[in-house]
Amino acid sequence: MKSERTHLSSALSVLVLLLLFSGKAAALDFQLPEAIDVRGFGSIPPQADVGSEVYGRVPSSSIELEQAQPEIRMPASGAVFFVQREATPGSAVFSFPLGNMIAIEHPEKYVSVIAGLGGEWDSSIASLQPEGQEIIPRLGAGAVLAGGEGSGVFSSRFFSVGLYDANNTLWINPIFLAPWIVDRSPPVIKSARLTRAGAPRSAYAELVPARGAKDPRLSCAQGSYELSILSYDSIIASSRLYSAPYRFVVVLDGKTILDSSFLGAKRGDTGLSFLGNQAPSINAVTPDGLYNVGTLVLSRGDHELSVQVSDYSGNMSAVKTRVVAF
Amino acid sequence: MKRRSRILILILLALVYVVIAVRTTKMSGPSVQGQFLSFSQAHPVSELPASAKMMLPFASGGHLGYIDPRAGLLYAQLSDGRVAIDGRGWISYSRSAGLLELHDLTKKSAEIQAFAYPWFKSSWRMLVRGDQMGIANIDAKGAILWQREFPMQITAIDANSKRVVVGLLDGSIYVYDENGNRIVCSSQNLGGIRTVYGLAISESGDNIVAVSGLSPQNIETFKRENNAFVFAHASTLEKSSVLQASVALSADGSHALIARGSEVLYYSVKFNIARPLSLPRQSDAGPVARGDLLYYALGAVGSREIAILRTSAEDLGESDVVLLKDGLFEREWAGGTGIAANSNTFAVVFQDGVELR
Repeated sequence: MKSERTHLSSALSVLVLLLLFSGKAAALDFQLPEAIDVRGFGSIPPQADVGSEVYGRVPSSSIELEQAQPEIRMPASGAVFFVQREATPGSAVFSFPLGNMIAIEHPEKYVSVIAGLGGEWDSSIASLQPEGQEIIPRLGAGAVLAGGEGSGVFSSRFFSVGLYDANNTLWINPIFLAPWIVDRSPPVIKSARLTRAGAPRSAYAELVPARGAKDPRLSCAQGSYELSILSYDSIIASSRLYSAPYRFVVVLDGKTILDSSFLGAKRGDTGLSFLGNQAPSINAVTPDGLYNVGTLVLSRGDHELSVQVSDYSGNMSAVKTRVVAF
Repeated sequence: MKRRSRILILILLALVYVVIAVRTTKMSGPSVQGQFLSFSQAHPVSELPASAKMMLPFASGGHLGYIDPRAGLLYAQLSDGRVAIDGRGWISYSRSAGLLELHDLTKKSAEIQAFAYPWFKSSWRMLVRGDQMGIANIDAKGAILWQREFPMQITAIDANSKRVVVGLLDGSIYVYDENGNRIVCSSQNLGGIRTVYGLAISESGDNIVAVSGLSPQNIETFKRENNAFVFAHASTLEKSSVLQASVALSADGSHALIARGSEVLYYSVKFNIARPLSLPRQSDAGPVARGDLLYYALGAVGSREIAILRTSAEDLGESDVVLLKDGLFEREWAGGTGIAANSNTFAVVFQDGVELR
């Protein structure tokens, strides 16, 4: 495995992002508050250990921020249109997993969702909506939302931030709206598997050579294969929160045949679509927690297969394998 | 003369409006004392008979357990609070949506591999995914029977014996049958923000009542027609609120109570009229300013009654259970933390025991 930096994918990311926002970014003016650690968009829940089937192990459509203080600043100004309050643990009332949560409407039909707020946050919201008055509470960019002991699945100082583009019906990866992030370490590719298409539980071929292996050559029958990858990225140096990488590129015999990323999650009738997989999002991961990147066809003969995984800053890791299809 | 008559009529109409607009909560006659069963003298849950179908499960006030209303027995154990319980057992879970442990009444336990909070109602055992964007129906052993994902966060959930209903941040309402088949629910596109703030389905399955939209905010009723729910009517609320609401429909489906923050609304399904309720505290604890209280709709009790949990915003451990019949005050239990109910009987749960009615 070799690691290298490239500015190509980062330039592409910026280009795609510009296209995505198509000039609306100025109107939105959304900026993620600085954090001491980040778990990125597309990451799978930390509770779910890789290796067994776990309900809820799907890519995240939001990002998680660890703040230095138990508070978070509003990424952009907007109107609060939904407030979820966590009930007392042990009371007879069911509390939803996102705990104390608010949803905010921004210009140009963008909606953000901030979860993990503290218990004292909503009195300030309530004060913005005086009793008997038809006022939708508005919060300005940079307004401080208290975090307290945290709420829902989030412990103190941890918050979830999601950004939905109602015009394009997709959840946007907000990491590109965090100019303060400086990431110099490439993602780690732990595993890259080829599994016969249509037979997800059949035997697979591993592309990442075992430690000490001298001949990284792989032999398999010709045909269609699903490629799934287990890869982690640290967005912040010395991060304790493993994140999904950003982009997966597969090059076969010098030609790019697969290119998918966590730029966003498209809304579908049956949920969310990640990495070009059909909704629901469970289709984007294997039962044991690898990302489904796409399908490739291996014709008979010798091939050079390169799997490249990069992060948001363009840091890249790659696995190159010689594949003999018979 | 004509002018005087008009003024008189207007004054009379205003008086009638005042009488019905804010429903009074005058205390009814002397309350009948129920049977109190203390936690300190309760049987351990491990002694529970294998068949607890006729028992009332409960989980609140730091305990979980079962009440045998026929024998007047209480089975209870301490609980750290995060529990979903029904007649077949319970699931305890951690705040981080992991460590789901399933306990059945044969004393067996098993771990459920999930990132979710369990939610039980009627015969439904559901998992609400940790990101609040999916549900899964599980069987008695914790195996997933079916699962569904939504494109936006769940903001409301309810169920009767045959249907589970989910409302979303974007205003969508999804209804599923026991096999996970989606039943059409045609929501209205009235413009503006269409978030579902709360909803409930009647036990008969004839009606779904949802609080949705913001400007204006409506209580919408959907009626069942064949195998679909169609929009029937909407009542625009005088005051909109951004707060998530808990909604409970009476068992006879005639009315609903909607609790959100310090406010409780009565909604007549039949007449499509919503009115705010005033629920002053009756106990000796002294009057607490309305703004200092939080209300939650707990659920239907009997045919026409609905129980409400009233907590202090300052001290969430301080609570009362209030029972309303047709939206009128019926009874208050100071210190009540929850209820346990079936179609025949109910009990109020306290920190130190349960009162069986």
